[in-house]
Amino acid sequence: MSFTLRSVKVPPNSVNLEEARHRVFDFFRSACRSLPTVMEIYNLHDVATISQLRSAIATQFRKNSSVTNPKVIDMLLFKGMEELNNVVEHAKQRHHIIGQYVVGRQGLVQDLDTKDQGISNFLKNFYNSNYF
Amino acid sequence: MGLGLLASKAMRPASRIFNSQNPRNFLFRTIVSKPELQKPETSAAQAQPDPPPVDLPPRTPVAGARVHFPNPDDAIEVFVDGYPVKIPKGMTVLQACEVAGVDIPRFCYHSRLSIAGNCRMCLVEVEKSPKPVASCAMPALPGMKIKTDTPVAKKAREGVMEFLLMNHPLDCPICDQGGECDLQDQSMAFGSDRGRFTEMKRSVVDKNLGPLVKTVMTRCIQCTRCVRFATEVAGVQDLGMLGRGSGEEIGTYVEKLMTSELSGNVIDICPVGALTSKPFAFKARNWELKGTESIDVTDAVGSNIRIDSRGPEVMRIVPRLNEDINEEWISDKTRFCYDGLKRQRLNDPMIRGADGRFKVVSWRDALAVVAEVAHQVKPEEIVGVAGKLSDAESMMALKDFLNRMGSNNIWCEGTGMNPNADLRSGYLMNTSIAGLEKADVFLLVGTQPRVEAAMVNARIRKTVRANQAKVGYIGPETDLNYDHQHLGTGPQTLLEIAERRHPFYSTLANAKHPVIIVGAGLFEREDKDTIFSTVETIAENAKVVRPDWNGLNVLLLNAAQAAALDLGLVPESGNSIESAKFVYLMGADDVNLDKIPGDAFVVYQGHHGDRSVYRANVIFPAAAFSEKEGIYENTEGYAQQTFPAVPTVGDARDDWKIIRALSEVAGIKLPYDSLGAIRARIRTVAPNLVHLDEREPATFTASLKPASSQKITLTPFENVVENFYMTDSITRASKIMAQCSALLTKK
Amino acid sequence: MAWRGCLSHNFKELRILLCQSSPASLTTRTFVEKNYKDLNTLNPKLPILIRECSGVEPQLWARYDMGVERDVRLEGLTEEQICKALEDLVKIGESLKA
Repeated sequence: MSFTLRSVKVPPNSVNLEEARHRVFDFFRSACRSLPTVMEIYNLHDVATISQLRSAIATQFRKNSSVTNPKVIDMLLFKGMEELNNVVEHAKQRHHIIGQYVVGRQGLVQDLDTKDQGISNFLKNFYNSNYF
Repeated sequence: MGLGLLASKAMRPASRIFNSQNPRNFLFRTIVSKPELQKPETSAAQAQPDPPPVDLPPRTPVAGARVHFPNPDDAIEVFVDGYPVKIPKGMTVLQACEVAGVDIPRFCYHSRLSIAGNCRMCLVEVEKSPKPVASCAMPALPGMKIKTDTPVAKKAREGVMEFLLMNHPLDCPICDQGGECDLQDQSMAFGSDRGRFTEMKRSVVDKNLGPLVKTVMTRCIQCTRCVRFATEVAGVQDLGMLGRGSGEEIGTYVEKLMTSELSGNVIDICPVGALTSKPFAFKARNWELKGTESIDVTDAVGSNIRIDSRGPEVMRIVPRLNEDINEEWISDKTRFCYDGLKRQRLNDPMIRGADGRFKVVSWRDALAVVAEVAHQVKPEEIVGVAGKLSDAESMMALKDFLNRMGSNNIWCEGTGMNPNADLRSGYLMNTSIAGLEKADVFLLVGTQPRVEAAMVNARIRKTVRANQAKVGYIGPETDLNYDHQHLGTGPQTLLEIAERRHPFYSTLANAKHPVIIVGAGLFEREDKDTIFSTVETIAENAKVVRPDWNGLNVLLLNAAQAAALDLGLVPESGNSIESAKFVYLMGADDVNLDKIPGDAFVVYQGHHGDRSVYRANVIFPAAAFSEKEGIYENTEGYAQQTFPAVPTVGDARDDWKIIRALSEVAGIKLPYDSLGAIRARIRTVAPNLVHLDEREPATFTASLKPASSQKITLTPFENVVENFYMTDSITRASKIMAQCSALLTKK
Repeated sequence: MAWRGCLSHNFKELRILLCQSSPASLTTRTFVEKNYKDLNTLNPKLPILIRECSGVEPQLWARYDMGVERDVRLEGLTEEQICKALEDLVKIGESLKA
């Protein structure tokens, strides 16, 4: 029941960047509010804390922070809402949540730390694997 | 039953009569025969004489081989299946058919061994001959008409195959040679579809030839290829044929192991599963394996190999044909060191913590730590040592990185403290390994080719056998598998030869193609310049170095030495390691670790946890030769590259990529990002390294060098390689090599 | 010439790349044959690497401190011009050190 409230009947189409920003913040708020439910459903009490999951979600948001086109932001928002719905409806399973949001591979989780901004593609690929 | 029935069947005139005569014999298999098939001469007379088919394309030799005519005027013409072909005089019928593109089945004939002619599978029909001839033994005469696909030849093949299979056990499901067995292939192609043998098969007791060669002598077809290989190519006369008739056995007669360093090649030579590889027994079938063409790095010869792998694991190593370097053979160390690639592998970057134990860290942290320390030391306290198995790209990257940090102290293991890399002729095998075949006198100075470079030794042996070359050897007492004169043990003999006092000098001076081979073990001596200049004096006096023939050679020990000296890995000061604060060991396990000061920061980049890891502060895991694409230069200056056969282990990276990443983290980014870019950089330093599969001869000889004025010390030359089976980090980690060195080295 | 003796002060390494048989490298080959000996006697610790390879253009590379490298194309130059090029590289080395 709670999920039907969140599922968007009309997909967002924002007029300008300002409106898109508001939608994004609303979405972030609703995601954070659903975190305790998520912890209960998937029994993540020993695996992660709420603040860890919150920062994981925040990292995902920050990855796309440089986007300016409102239509693109709407598309990303739609995808995010879909993902949130899946998680809350228990359409995902524990290992999905752990793999995607708790344990990231080094590159995924720490992607946009400031110390990594200036490195070349070679070094990024080098940290990832031997074959590039 | 038995022979009587066979005889009656053979004398049976026609099938119809037989069927009506003996209805009770319907249980026995019948071989139907027709009168035309029983009398081949009549059938040939009935068929019209066959003109050479002119509309079909001309035939090319088997496997795209090229025919070499030593005297073009001496070519003779023979007819193979109606096609005329021109062949050099002296070729056998089998070789003539190969030139014509017809592959004749054979078991005992091998192009590199002497002719035995005992399997009889190569029988072909030759006109005007009453019976089929063994084509491997019959010399081709001009105007001969050879027919390989007539009923006579086919019947002969079927008959021979039937005889061979009579006493051959039904081992195909458990035999390792299944899938690559000559007997299987030829029986499918040339044998009949059924056999008539209903007796008991004979069996033979297995012989113990050592931890490398597994013998199941029941499968042996007595082709004697292994006997001929052991006597001719390997030079040990271990194997022989005992007994006569069906009781023939191949064995060593006494309980003797095959200790020769080429003993693994009998595995390739044996056409059936009698001699197989013991470490590879029951591991895989040959159709599961993916072959990758690569180069061997356990010694400086650079033998061409094919690495057969299944998934992420190397299953075996087999030789590839390269006429110039290793022909078709590889040494035992090359063949069986692959199981060292699975043990003691470094797979994660590690940093030594304060309690002295290693802790696994991520690449980011490890590189950051090393970069920080590198900036804290002075440039002349930074030292880099390249290991024995390093490829040219990684050595180029290391040299560039250290040069940009301000240090010039980088060298390769085994090149000594003051290597002279100026003239290429001073450290390469100038005669080229294939050119050794033309020589008629050898002088070996301080080198034991049997343990240092087994393929060069095989080539010298081939020359000694073919040209009756004389070999003079200066060094410690050693066992070479050809006749040689032990002239002395140290520089004293060299000086005598240089002053023309020694009797061997006259042999050297009178030779048409003299060859002097100096071992790379002499690089470690302090008086090496003087010894080299003495050798150059000998070369000048005996005219060893001429415009058309350069006989002064250096036999290197490691796969990385030639490329290192070509790239200019020459340290600025000889004893820089004693005052070093930052030591970068790139696979260098034979460095004298006591010389490194106790407070120096040591970085080890390599693939095995061998000796130097225990002194290291930071470990970078790198890729082994079977996992990376790298250029290796062999001792004669022939640049070749390895290809990755299996993926890298764990978090390991390619060597040059690690150094490039380290340089970027340290702030002095090297200008290359990809393999092509680093090879372009190598082209500006030593362009012969990027001319792959080509040998660039060195034209400037040692006469350009100023003479050395040092005093010669008279300490005798030493054995450089104590244990042939354990020379570098891969072989030291290998269980098979440990077994070999325990059982096969002479005590 | 005096500058030949102080090569090792300015360079860390000198490389001469040439072809064994092509006419473009002919002057470089004669230059090496004539001058290698005394360059080496005057600068025993300096690595003067002579690298022959077929099909390569003749070049002279000098490596200075901190990995800086300069090259000169020697195609079509006479021997005196090659000497002059070497001298120029020495001067560049001195200016880099200053």
